[in-house]
Amino acid sequence: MTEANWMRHSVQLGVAGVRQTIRGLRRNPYRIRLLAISAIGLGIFLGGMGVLYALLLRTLDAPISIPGGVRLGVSALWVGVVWFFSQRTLLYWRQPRAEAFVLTTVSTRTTAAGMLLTEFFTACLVLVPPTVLLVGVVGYAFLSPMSLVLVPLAVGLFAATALVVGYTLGFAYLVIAGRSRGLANQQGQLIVQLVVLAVVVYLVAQFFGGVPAVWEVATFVWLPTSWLVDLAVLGTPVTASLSRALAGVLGSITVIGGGSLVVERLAGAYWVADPGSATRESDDTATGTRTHDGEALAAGISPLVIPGFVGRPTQRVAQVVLLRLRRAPRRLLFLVTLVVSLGIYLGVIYTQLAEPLSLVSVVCALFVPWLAGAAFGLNPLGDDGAVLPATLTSSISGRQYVRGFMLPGLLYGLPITVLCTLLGSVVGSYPLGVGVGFVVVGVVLTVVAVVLAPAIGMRFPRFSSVTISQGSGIVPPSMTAIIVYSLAVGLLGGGVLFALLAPAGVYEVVTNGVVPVGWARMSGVVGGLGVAVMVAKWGYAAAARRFEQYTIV
Amino acid sequence: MTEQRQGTESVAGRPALTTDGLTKQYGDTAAVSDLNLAIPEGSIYGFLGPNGAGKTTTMQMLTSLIQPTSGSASINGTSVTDRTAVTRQIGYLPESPPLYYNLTAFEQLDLAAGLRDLPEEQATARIESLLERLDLREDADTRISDYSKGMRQKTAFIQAILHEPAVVFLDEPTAGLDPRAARTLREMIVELADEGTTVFLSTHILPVVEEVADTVGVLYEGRLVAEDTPTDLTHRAETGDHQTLEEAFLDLTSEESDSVKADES
Repeated sequence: MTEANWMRHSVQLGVAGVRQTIRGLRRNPYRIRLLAISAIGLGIFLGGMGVLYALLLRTLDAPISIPGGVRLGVSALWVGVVWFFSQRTLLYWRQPRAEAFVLTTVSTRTTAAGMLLTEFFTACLVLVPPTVLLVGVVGYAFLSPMSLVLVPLAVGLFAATALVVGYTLGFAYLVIAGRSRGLANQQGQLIVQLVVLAVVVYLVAQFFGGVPAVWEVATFVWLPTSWLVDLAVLGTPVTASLSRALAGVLGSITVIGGGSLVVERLAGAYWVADPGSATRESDDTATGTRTHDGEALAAGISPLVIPGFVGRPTQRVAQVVLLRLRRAPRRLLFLVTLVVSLGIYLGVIYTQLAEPLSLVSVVCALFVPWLAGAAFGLNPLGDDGAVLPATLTSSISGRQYVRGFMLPGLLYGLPITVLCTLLGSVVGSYPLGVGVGFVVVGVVLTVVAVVLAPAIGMRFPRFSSVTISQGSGIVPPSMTAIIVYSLAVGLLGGGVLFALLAPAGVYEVVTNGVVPVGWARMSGVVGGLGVAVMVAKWGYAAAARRFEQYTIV
Repeated sequence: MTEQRQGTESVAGRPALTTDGLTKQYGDTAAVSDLNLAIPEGSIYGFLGPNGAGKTTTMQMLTSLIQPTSGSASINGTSVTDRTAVTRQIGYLPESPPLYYNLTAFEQLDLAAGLRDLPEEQATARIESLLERLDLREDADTRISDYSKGMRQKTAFIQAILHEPAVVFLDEPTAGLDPRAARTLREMIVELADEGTTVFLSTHILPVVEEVADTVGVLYEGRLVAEDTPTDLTHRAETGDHQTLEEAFLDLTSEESDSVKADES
């Protein structure tokens, strides 16, 4: 039953939601600084590119046709945004914000619409700068006043349709998972496996280069999402189809309206009426271990093992890290989007390299260590959540605590790194010395990454479990921690790999030919690894100190 | 009328917990102001106060979770600013049970024992006995996410006292418990004190304090406005009439409210 004035109530919920988001952002000065730096950097880059394109477009003679690549790019971006929003459903909207209050105060329609509006308003905030830039470029290139209205309209419809479709997919998945206990228990693993499979299929397709004829650039006009491009360029010298633009608007309105109704039904079914919703935390409710001999945690993570020689406090922390991950693998969902993006990016690079297989060991030496750190230790304090007071008063030392978060990455990340870099070196046909270099770099970088992850995660913790699967306390790492960690590992690892693979000419120039290239290269690699180890050592001490001095905010 | 703890007059050991001018300031707001306590070893100290009085802030300072703005506090002579040293002596049950919901009680308590490096056999025996005592043994291999609020509270209580701390801080320990479990917990609190553990007990359930506490401190707007035995506190009204602890508490906090307002004006 929908209450009177549900639309007004939805808008109120949406405004309250976006206000919460903004206030959350304000409380995180590091994130604001990172966003500001990114915005300035991207703004300068994209603004410069925009001016260049605008100047180029002004020199072209009308009529100008819309390149198929632009249509494909816009459609691919739309799919990416849909994926992003479906992930947000799983991470942030399993329960509405202030669930008990909202669901007992307004209808599920209002709640669902409020959720969509919260997300749309937030998206609008993010989209304002690029939209202004786009309007500026199109307006400057074609001196078309219609662009002032049509470009923002196209961007708005683009975001709204992607949002509604993303939430439809997200809630459809949740409802299905809620009704199938087996699927619910395995959902985290399934998503990760599906994503990895998709990336592998994509890379294999890239490798074999088989592109069906339907993907010919000239045919991309059939992609409905690209019709918004026709809408955006109406009134300019670019040849656009009015009928496609109209179809784009009408289609978008249909998708938004119809999709919202579907989201309302699905979200309502999941939040309130669905019998499976009782198993929302079902991956937390499977039967536990049946023994107690002081080794309950060891039994819980079996057949994985954390050796006892590390000391019991460290061993227990490491066991809990693994157990939490095993029982709620959706903790790793934050990695999925990153892995997909990286996979696609690598696919693009892959096709452009003369010897694409040479890329494998580089990726392995850089990416596997990054993953070993990110999977286990990027939010230690936030993962503890309500348990943090007990942990802080448990007399475990800072070093023991940090080592507990490092151990899983070391124990299970190191062998995988060695294996992957070895295989990569073999398939990449590198000389033996370089192959060994990859393995060494991979090993050292894994150690560095698993130290830096908890150090950075504890510096930029995230505690906002209110909005993310509150009951099980699953809190993904903060965006700041992910970015800082990725930059640190990427720069340190990238520097060492550059030293390992730089052409001989670079060393000849740097050393002025005084030092043999082999020695110079060796010095570069060892020096780079030394810097990385020093940074890790500093990070380890800083993390231990932070734990010992941490106070509840 | 609840029965007061027997033999409370004998409690006069050396102070296990002392504070001297303990103050916590948040900007211009004083959450806790000039708090002076000296709680004898093996006693139960009932810490009362209306919502927002500063009870939790005080407990967080005493458990080293937040740093005082000024003043000092120590547990058996160890400053609470030295977390490494002080945590060996304390157990803490915050208002919200500090548990990992996707672990079983066994696993959670195994973790707690491991983090404190308790000898394994001793820890196992104590876990078993405490689970038995609190009627949790049968459910100890069920995940905490499937527990009722009371079961979680009992698990968190066991976690707080597992290592036999010298001082245990309990914030609303009986919240969410059924009458039988609440009684067991009260009995266990008294036993802890009888065995020499100092109990710092914060609760809004005044009959619990009246029954088990040796001394009651009333905190109001960050200041300690009264401290006495429950019996004497209930006789403190100006009329001299006997009243309940609840009535005394209401009198104290409303009187203070008026005087504070008068001071401010």
